[in-house]
Amino acid sequence: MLVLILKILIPFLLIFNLLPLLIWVERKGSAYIQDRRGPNRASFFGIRLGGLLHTISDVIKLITKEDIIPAHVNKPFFILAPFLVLFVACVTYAVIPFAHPIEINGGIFTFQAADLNVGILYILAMSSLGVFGVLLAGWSSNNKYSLLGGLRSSAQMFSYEIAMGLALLSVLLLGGSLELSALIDDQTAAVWRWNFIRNPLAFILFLTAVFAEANRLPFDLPEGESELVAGYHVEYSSMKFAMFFMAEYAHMIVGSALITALFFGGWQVPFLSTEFLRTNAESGLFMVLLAHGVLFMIIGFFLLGKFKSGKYGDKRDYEVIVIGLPMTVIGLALGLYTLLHGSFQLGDMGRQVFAAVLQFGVFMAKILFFCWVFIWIRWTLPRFRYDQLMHLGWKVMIPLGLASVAGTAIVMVL
Amino acid sequence: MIDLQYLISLFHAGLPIWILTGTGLVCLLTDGLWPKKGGTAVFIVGFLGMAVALFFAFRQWLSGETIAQDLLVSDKATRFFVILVIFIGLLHLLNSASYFRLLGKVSAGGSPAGRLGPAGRLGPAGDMVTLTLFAVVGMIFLFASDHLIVNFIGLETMSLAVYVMVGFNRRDVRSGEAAMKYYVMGSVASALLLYGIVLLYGAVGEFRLSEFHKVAIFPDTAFLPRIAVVLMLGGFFFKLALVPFHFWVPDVYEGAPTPVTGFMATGVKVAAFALFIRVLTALNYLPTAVVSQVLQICVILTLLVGNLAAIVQDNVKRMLAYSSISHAGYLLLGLSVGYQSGKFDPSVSSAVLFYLAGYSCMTLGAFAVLSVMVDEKREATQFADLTGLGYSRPVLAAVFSLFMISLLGVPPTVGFAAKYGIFSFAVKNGFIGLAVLGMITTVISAYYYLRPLVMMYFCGAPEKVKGGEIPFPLMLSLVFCAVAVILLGIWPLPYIDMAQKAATAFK
Amino acid sequence: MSEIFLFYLFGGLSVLMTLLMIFQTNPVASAIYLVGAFFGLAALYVLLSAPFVAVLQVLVYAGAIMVLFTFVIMLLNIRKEELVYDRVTWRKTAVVLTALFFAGFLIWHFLKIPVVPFAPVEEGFGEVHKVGRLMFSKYLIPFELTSVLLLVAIIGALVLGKKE
Repeated sequence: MLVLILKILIPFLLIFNLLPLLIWVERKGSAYIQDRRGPNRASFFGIRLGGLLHTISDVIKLITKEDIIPAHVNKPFFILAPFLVLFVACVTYAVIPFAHPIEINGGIFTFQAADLNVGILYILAMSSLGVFGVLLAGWSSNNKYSLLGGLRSSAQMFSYEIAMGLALLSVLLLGGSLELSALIDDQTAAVWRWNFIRNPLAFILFLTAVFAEANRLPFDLPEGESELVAGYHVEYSSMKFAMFFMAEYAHMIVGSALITALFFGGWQVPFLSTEFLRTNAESGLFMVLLAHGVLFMIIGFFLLGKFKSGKYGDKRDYEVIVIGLPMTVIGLALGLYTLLHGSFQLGDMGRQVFAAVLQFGVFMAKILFFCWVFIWIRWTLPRFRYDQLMHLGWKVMIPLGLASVAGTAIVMVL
Repeated sequence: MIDLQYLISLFHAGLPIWILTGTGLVCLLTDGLWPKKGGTAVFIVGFLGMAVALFFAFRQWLSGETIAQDLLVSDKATRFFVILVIFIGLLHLLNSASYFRLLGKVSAGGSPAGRLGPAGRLGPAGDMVTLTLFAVVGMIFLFASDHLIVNFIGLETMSLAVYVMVGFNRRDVRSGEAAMKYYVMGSVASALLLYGIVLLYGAVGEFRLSEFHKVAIFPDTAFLPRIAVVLMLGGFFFKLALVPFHFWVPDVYEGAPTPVTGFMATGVKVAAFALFIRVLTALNYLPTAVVSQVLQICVILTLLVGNLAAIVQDNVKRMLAYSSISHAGYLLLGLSVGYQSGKFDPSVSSAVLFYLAGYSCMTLGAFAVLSVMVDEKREATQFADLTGLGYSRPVLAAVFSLFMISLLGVPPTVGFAAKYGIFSFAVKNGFIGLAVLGMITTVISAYYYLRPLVMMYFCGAPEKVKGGEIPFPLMLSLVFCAVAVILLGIWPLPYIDMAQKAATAFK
Repeated sequence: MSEIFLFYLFGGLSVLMTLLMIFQTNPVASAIYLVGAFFGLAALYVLLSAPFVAVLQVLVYAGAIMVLFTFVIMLLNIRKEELVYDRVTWRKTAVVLTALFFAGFLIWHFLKIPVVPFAPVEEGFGEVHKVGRLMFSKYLIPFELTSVLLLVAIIGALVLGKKE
């Protein structure tokens, strides 16, 4: 029971901990793409951490602000909508595995809240339900812009869901299963078996569809600030607004996780199979710890090297020392400890856990990479026009999706 | 993995169906690839495809061997109905080929040129061909399977296609109204039928009609089949346009484009009757004794209401709508006399099968004539529009008279032979009362069937001469129907023999 | 025992949601309650060891069809004032009473059916592989016929909705 609760909680915690980080990455990333500094004003006793504190002050602001429910809205649905949006964005994570299952006392422990045998259909079902939240938010606000935003959003999600389904279909043809764990097993650690190489067309389609589902640029017409103010959440304030905001990022994370699981081998460490990791766990642990020590030290030294007295003339000068020094020390300690300790002795359990942790780390790295791709594309591409969006969805992506399915099927039969 | 042998036998068993479906898809593509050509290319493709399908259906009929397939029945009865339904589809194609052009040309004459586009295109007639093909596929599946779910999906395929065809004339408000009415009512009927099927499944645990003789009914659940049958009868009566469920018929038949009305009055009824006979045969094994009484009451009501209401109509299409109701009554009479001590004997259905064939010919012919009756943007199907037709368009009037006489049931037309068959079965099986009622109502029907003749020949010359040639496809259909009506009337034996062979296959 | 409890829980949920749907004056609210009812049904399918059907129920009905429904309702934007409220008349009362009578009749009869323990379903019953295999072998004809049905529906929508 406890294990189950943990399994359910961990994905949620993961998403909610990644959220502020992603918001910071988005702000900083957009700043660097646009050649400016980005947020750096919020401070804590003068320490600014490069804008990282902005997220905290954002959260405090959003929580403490007055929650306004306008008089003309349909109250029950107005309140329900943000919860629905966030809920749907999060529960999709339930079927995504983040490491190879391990054996404990003869029982199999899966790193996944629910290993449904209809996993892919579950993903589709949940993403199709996501429309409801947006639609309800738009309608219950009783506001022209909101309604237009909601309608746009639902039409868009609906159109791209078909292409998404077709892309998923090609993937499940390749893997021969609807279970995500089986799909990841099928991809194996060999990179050329990963689905983005085996079926690049489906990958591109899926990537595009996920962007549309998450309402991210270039598909963020439901928000369309220039013509719709802010679309379906224009009437929302305080934490309810924040929930829409969070849902967008949760969608990003879940979308990245899906892309990773379906097309990039999920938790598979490139070229290193689970068996390999388990048999070579001892030397692997040694190398990983050493690498971390070295990495920490490099970052620490880099930060320390940036120190220049009187650069700003205030406490910001010492930021690099506050971060850099501990990192150097940790890295040094870790490296020395590893070197001095020599080889590690791991039991059977330890080997499995090591493999799982490493796979989890690799999985997270892949997810974060795709999160960055989301941000990168947002600040690179302009927004579509609505007819272009529909044209792309119905006349380009769906035929391509059908071609992908047919091609995959033919290749599989041959 | 894939059982190739199974697929091959499936292919052979349903060859006409696969041809029809394939042709439908080709028609869709043709329409999409050459939109400029209008419906002509699509029409040719569809017509040829149907003709080929008809050829193979005939070959199947002649080959004689019954190919038993899992969900696809291919016995004599099915083949008989397949041929009949494809015939109806072909005639419908011919009827509707020129209808929209006629309607468009006439209306284009009254309005500034170019408003309607080239050749007065009124609605894409290419889609009509495609829909007809798929409707025929649905009709075939409606009876070509003994699995009730397949039947139901077939019914829905047919119904959806027909709903759309009814609303095809989008310039006419009545057409849209008729489509909406038919759609809503038809959905309710489909739901009734589906509820019935599901309850029946709950009672007997079987969807296959051919397996019903094996099932055991427990006394605790004996009420289920009864309710199920009542619901299913409701659905059937709706599709067959029998009296307690007939209220939609006049409006829908009047509003629908004339060729489509003909298609509805024949194709839908034929297919539904085919399944109805199959279901009645299978119900013998269930404790559903009330069915025969229900059928008889329904026959009496239908005959009376259909014939009496037809008298007061002043629109020929509406009159034919009531006429089709009363003909459904005669058909049901033919079935209800098959009940001997609570069991249905399917061999009586030979008369019904023959009646269906004859009825289809004369009704389609009558509606083919009405398809020409187009006047200034609208269908000219009031009785008054017929005035003097015998002088302005003598051929048309003569053929129409022939169909009216046949619908009435006067020798030497097929109407007489068909009615004679049904009444003789009724007398033979001891249903004298029903037979007498049938004859009385036939006499009543003389009033409204002969009224068009009076209008055409004895009400003076028309105010203005409405000439105009008959389009070639329509001419083809008219000639075929007229020849069939006379041929089946004076020399019915080979066809009665066919019907008997088919009827014995219902077991 | 817990299965019985879950059955009544989700069965009750669907019934409640359906009733709420009927008694709503707001069409959008009705649609949302219908989605709730579909969820209850999906849960019942899971209890009947048909997870595939359950997911399809959510995917197709709750996800696809109801979204379109809601979409259309919102586009129509029916205001409360425009809705016609039924008046209670003798005739309607009679109709309702008759319906209730038949419902009671059915329930009474259904309750009389003895409860027979069913044999447990075989391994893998209702899972995707089994269902898929059946659909492409034994039930190939209805499966393909359904695609014809949908095709007809699409053509029909186009024919009726296309600009002249």
